[in-house]
Amino acid sequence: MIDVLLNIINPFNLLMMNIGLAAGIIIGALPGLSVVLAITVLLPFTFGMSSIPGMYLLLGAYCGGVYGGSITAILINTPGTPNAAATVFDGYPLAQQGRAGDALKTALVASCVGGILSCFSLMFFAPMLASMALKFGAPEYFSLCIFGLVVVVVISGKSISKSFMLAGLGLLVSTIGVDSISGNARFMFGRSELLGGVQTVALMLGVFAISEILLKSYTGQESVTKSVEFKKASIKIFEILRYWKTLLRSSIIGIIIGAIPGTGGALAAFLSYNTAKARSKNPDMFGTGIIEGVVAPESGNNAVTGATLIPMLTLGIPGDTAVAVLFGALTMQGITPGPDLFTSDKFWVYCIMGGLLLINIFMLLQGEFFVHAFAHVTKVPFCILVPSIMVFCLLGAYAIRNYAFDVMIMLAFGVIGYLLKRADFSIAPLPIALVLGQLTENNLRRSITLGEGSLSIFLHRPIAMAFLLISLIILLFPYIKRAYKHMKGVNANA
Amino acid sequence: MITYGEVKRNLIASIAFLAFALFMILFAIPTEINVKSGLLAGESSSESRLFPYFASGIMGIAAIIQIVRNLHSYSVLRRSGVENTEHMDVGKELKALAILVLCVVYAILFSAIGYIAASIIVTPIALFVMGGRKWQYYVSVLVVVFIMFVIFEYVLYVPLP
Repeated sequence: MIDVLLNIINPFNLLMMNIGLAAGIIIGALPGLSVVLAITVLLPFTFGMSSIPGMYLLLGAYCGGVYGGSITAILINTPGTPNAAATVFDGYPLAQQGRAGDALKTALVASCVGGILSCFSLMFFAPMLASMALKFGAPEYFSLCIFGLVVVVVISGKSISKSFMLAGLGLLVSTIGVDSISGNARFMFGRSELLGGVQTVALMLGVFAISEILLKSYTGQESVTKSVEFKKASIKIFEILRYWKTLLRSSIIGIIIGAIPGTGGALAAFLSYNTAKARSKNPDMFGTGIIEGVVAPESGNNAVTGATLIPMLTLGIPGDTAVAVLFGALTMQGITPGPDLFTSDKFWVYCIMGGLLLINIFMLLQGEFFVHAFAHVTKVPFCILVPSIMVFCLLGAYAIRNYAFDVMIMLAFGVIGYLLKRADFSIAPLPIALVLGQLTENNLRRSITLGEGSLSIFLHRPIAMAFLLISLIILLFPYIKRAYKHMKGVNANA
Repeated sequence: MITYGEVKRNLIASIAFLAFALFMILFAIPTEINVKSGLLAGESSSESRLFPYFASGIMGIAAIIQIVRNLHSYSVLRRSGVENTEHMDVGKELKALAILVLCVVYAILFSAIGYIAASIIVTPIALFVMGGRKWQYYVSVLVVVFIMFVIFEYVLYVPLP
């Protein structure tokens, strides 16, 4: 325990947490740039570090990015990230009333409370889930991977078939390179650089960063016309904590949503906001600029941050795109997320959990002292960001293995990502399927070997069978719902 | 309500996915996964093709479903008499294309003439294309270029060309 504490408070680790936080808040506060982009852009900087400070840098960016989106939502009525979309409802009216500082401080405190409670949930539930997962064999793992993929496919996009196309593409890309079971080289197309497969980081820089600057070049960035002047906060922390019931309820909602693959902070924020409004004695006041209307979405969306790590660390299944990037970073460091971490690498896991707790505390300090400076970020013109992101991406892709080939891979996926976004595809299934690909394939093949060439092994393993059945029900649920509505309509007409 | 433009984009994307899935199933998997060359050639070697077929199959089936749905949406739009009012905005398309071309040129110049020289040439052009006209913007971007050079070369020890 002492070793864990000493490691967490190592000056370099503390520095990485704070740099990650600051970068995350700044990128999160830039309108239109997402939390995923914040983590992806910082990812190459972790290559030269050991895994713990590297993860602190990325976790800092994750937490900071989720909070940073609220700054833009409050000051310019445009959410910096989708996570802060519900913060606009009361944050901007508060700012218009001359209480921008109060709204920003409320968002900060609520974010910290949500983040800290989420971190406790990670500490409490992750070891329990990991000990259960340790009993899983190959058929159970394969079924779990299918379950994770199906949930992401069904929840993340507007169209299930479109999401399946991307999941198929992600799984296919994961097979490029040497097959870890048979040693066969696959899809080399005469390029030795592909022996190690398509680098996850190159793909992510392409689909999240390059595609984003291409899309923003196409759509153009809205000019900031409704900016509200920053005013110093007069609200005290205990006045915000008076809404402890809303804070607690929204954090629990965020934790539950975060632990479910494919959901994310935006959904948690909207659910928290609607629940707070439904349970309020004055629901009509919501949307007019009240503190509770900022407390609910901000504690809800930040409560997702620790909870999304539960399925990743315990089962090796990334729940959303941000965590898929963290997953990619971990595998680059030679760490394989999954239940074995809790037996073979306990020290690492507890360092990450403790670090996440500290990151949320640092977020409160950074927000308290530097919020005025962060508020200026909303005025940065987008035209500067395009060449800057180009530089980050080029260096990031090159630094993976010092190959110019990886830069080309990044550009190829950047174009693919851009075209897919133009066709209204949700990108989430692609990176998640990519990072789950190898785990899914290896466990499918091991299961077939265990079943002596037959797939019937899945019928004889209750847990595997249960996961597959639940996946099927989730997949068919939208169609069952539609059929039920149709039948109800027919009966009503009769 | 879905528009002609959305149907068209979805249809093109779905046909591209279907063509890619067919290419993988009929050509790439049989030719690019040689099952006899594996170190442990045998049953596990032949299984090397199993998962790529599975993934391509998912992609192909989903693409077919999407094509059928889009054709249905297209016929509904035609029957309802909705007119196609969407037109391509050439200016916007060219801007995105220009940034893409600059990215490719940047990657080529990066290997050919090195990071600093490539950045000094490409990043100001990208800034100009994006509408940056103030000299302060150009200085800011070049400062980013140099800071990144120092971080990667001297802090992360990445030997840049």
